[in-house]
Amino acid sequence: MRLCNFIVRDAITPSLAASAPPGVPSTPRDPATVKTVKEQVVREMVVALHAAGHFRVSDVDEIVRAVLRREELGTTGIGRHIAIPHSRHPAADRLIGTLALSRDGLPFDSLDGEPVYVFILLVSPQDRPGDHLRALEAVVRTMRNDDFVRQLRACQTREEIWALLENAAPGW
Amino acid sequence: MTGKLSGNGPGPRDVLPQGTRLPLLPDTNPLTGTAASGEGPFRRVVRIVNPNGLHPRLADWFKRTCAQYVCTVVVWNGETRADGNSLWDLIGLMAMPDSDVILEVDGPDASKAIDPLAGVLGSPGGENYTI
Repeated sequence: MRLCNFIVRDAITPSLAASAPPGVPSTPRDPATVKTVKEQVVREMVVALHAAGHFRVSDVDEIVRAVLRREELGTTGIGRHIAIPHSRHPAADRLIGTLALSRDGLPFDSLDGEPVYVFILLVSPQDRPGDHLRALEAVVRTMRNDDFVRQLRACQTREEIWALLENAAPGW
Repeated sequence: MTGKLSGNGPGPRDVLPQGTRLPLLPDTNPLTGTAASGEGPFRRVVRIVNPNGLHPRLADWFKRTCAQYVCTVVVWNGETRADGNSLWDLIGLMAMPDSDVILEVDGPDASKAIDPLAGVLGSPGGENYTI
């Protein structure tokens, strides 16, 4: 599986509006800051999926809550400036996802304590754990390539990001 | 045995050449994975019974359990190798529900580590599977 197999092109966000609250120390593990940032990031990405034609508007809040409940069980900031917020939800009839970049990096309670610049949000049906695992594998296989991540973070537009995903070597 | 057994962090995955088989070591009981003496390497076949496979939360639990021991921990899924201390490696194993993986431990406290580690890998879970 490749990222372009499940990432929704029209939901890609080249520059997240989410930011740490002004005046609040933006230490990566400050719980209040992290909670606020996580909600902003997840909502922005789920809304982008809705705007791209996925999920009814009435499902958006519940999907955001499901992803945040998953975050409460353990952060999906897996280090190396990458986070994979994800959840299963009945509104998804197949695995879909989207990608978002933060220009300044965001506190996300990452395992290595570093800010996160690349977010990949996954929403999958509840009865297809295999697809979910394949997508997660595709994310870590691709994102462990430092050259790829460097190129990704340099992208300024949705089109540039999509072209990079489509043209990535199969090993990525 | 092919592939390095050490190294932390998300480095490139080690993949054995096509067709390579991992034999049980001569001093390893194929049923229990325990060795007659010494501190490894020991291997044990573990079935992933968690209905979500080796998903990130289970992988993180396994990684944190690995951190309690000094021995080297490797998990094989077919020919794909994961360092037990690397969440990236473990997610990259893509170990599906009802698949068998090989747990391999080697080092000073390997005999103490193998049972708890196999217990985590083979755990049915108990997580909230709706999210």
